[in-house]
Amino acid sequence: MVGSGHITVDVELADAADDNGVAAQKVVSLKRRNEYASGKVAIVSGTCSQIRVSINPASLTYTDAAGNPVAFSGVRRLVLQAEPGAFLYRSFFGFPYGCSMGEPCVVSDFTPDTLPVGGYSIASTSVTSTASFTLVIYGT
Amino acid sequence: MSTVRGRVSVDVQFRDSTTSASVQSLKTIALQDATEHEDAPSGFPLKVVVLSGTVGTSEITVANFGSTASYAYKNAAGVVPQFSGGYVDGVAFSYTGGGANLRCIEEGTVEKFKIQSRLNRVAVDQGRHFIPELKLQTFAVSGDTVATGSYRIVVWGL
Repeated sequence: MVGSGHITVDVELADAADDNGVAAQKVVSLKRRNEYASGKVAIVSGTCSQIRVSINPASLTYTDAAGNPVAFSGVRRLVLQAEPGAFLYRSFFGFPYGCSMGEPCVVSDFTPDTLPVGGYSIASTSVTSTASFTLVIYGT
Repeated sequence: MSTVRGRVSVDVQFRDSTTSASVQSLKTIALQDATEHEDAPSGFPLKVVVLSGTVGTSEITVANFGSTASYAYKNAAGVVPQFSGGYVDGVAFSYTGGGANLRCIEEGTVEKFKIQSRLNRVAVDQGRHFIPELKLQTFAVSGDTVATGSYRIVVWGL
């Protein structure tokens, strides 16, 4: 069980211009930190080709601090980091849920209290190369 | 002419601990990344656009990156930025209500991602997408009945 945790996304881009000595700047930002004091967490790592690798949150090999396998009944958030790139799919045949090409993608599940049929799956963005991935799953 | 520079970071950390027979076990899961963004080595300048407004249950097209006419955001020079390189390299999305999904469509029909935000949680996709359209609508989640809410989307690319 999670004792404490957080997921933070922080985007800040500065846009500057100089027109005949008049400097203008816009700062674009979108930041959110969500704290979690309960729930379950697991991490799944591996490699994949363009053929999808299936991940079933109800049946993972990852074990918690007590040594018990972590089994989810619902997934709230997913964070995928893949090199050189991979898509995260909802269910084995579903639409792409997000894409990481080196930098992480962070998504919420559409049905946080129930698991998608078939779980999730991950596939390389490239037809010619495999991808290595790390997926963090947070839920209940 | 404006110059865009910036940083996108994701920080995930969870602590999972248990105590049994006076032995404490602790596992920490962490995933952290911070990427600095600037102009591409190929010469295409980095662009950023902010899209905001309200959305309901009917899907709306919030931007088409093949056309600067589809969004109103102006950069520091007062010009609507054009993604002349054709690539969107990241999308961060926040929605105030019970749930909304943002779809990224390439070539009119190919769905490249569908990310959800609810209750101001920021979703971010950092894949590379070619001249996409972004479409948005609210989504019913677990009994939430909020059908209209405010959104904010930050898009960066070349």
